[in-house]
Amino acid sequence: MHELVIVSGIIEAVSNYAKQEGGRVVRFKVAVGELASFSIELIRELLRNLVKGTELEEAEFSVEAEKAEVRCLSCGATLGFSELIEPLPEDEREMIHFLPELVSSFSKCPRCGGRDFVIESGRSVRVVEVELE
Amino acid sequence: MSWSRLDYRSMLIPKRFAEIGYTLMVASGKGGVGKSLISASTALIEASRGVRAGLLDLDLHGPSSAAILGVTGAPAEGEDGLIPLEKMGVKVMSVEFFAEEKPVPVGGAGKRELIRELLALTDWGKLDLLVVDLPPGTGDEMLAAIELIPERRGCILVTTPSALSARVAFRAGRLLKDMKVDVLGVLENMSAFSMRGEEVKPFGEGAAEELSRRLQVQLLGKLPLDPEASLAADLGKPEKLLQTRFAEALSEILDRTLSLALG
Repeated sequence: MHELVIVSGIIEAVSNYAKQEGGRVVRFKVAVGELASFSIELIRELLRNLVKGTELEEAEFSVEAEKAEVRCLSCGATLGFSELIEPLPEDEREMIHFLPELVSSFSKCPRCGGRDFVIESGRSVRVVEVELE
Repeated sequence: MSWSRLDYRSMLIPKRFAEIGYTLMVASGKGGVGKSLISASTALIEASRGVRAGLLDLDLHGPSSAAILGVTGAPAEGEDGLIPLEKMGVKVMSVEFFAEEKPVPVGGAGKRELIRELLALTDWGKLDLLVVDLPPGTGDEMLAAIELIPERRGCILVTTPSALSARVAFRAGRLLKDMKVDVLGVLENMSAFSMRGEEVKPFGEGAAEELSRRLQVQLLGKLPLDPEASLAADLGKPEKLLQTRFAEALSEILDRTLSLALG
């Protein structure tokens, strides 16, 4: 369950950021990218448990899904989760879950058959807002 | 707001490397000079001496060092990240474990992301030595490794005796030195082979000496062109690889080269 490591890293990154900025975190927002197929509920649950006893314990947080947008550099199409990930078997989705860039190994552009992709959004888990006081 | 400071990987990667005594990058300019064989053999030889060794294949488009050690499968997930596969005491991580035989058509920024993710998520535990097999050239993989592995690191530059190979290796060496990477020296591979008792040097000689002179680094040594090592690598038989003349010669060179770094 590498989500545990990622969420620990997020808590540490936000805490560190507040320390460097000399503030206290009031609220922060985490976006969970569709591409890596993380469970939003799991990320929320891990955050809830892992902030206990840290500087972030009193901070409010929200966890929201972020749509996957992958641009095909061959034809310019913008592709989403339903076109790239949904058709894949579970074992291949699992590999993209670990390394989202491998979407180009397992999926093709349904428009042109190309694999030259750039992930524009919805890659993995990221902090999108931090409010300090 | 500084997004890079809020990236979980910027927290995790330094923690991973705090557990690693020394990182040895194996680089070259040209491809096909035997870098992966040298990387895999280095990790293997050191592990056989009781060193806690890891091997990270960053040749994203042409990973082969895991295959040389005969390692296949998918890494398991542990509480602290992805657990590398292991063979003869060497912990191995490669994009090959995820993509299997599929191509990895990732470019530019995508490669950097992929390498960040691998470095952040791989749970090596405590290692004395991590060998990083870099792809040929001076592209994203090398730049990412230099950026993300900032301390207790060094590099071996591999060339064949060909002047062309050495000329291209010079560029890689210059970049590494400019980026303050400790270039431990030049290692000449495919130096010579024996035929009817005679030593044959099919690619000439002198280019590695010239390369080390131009870069002002040591010539670490010369490795033979050894069909037995090549066959052991093709078959993924590390136990056979360890018994070759190639491994014997590399072992002597590593004794001299890594003794300081590994304490």
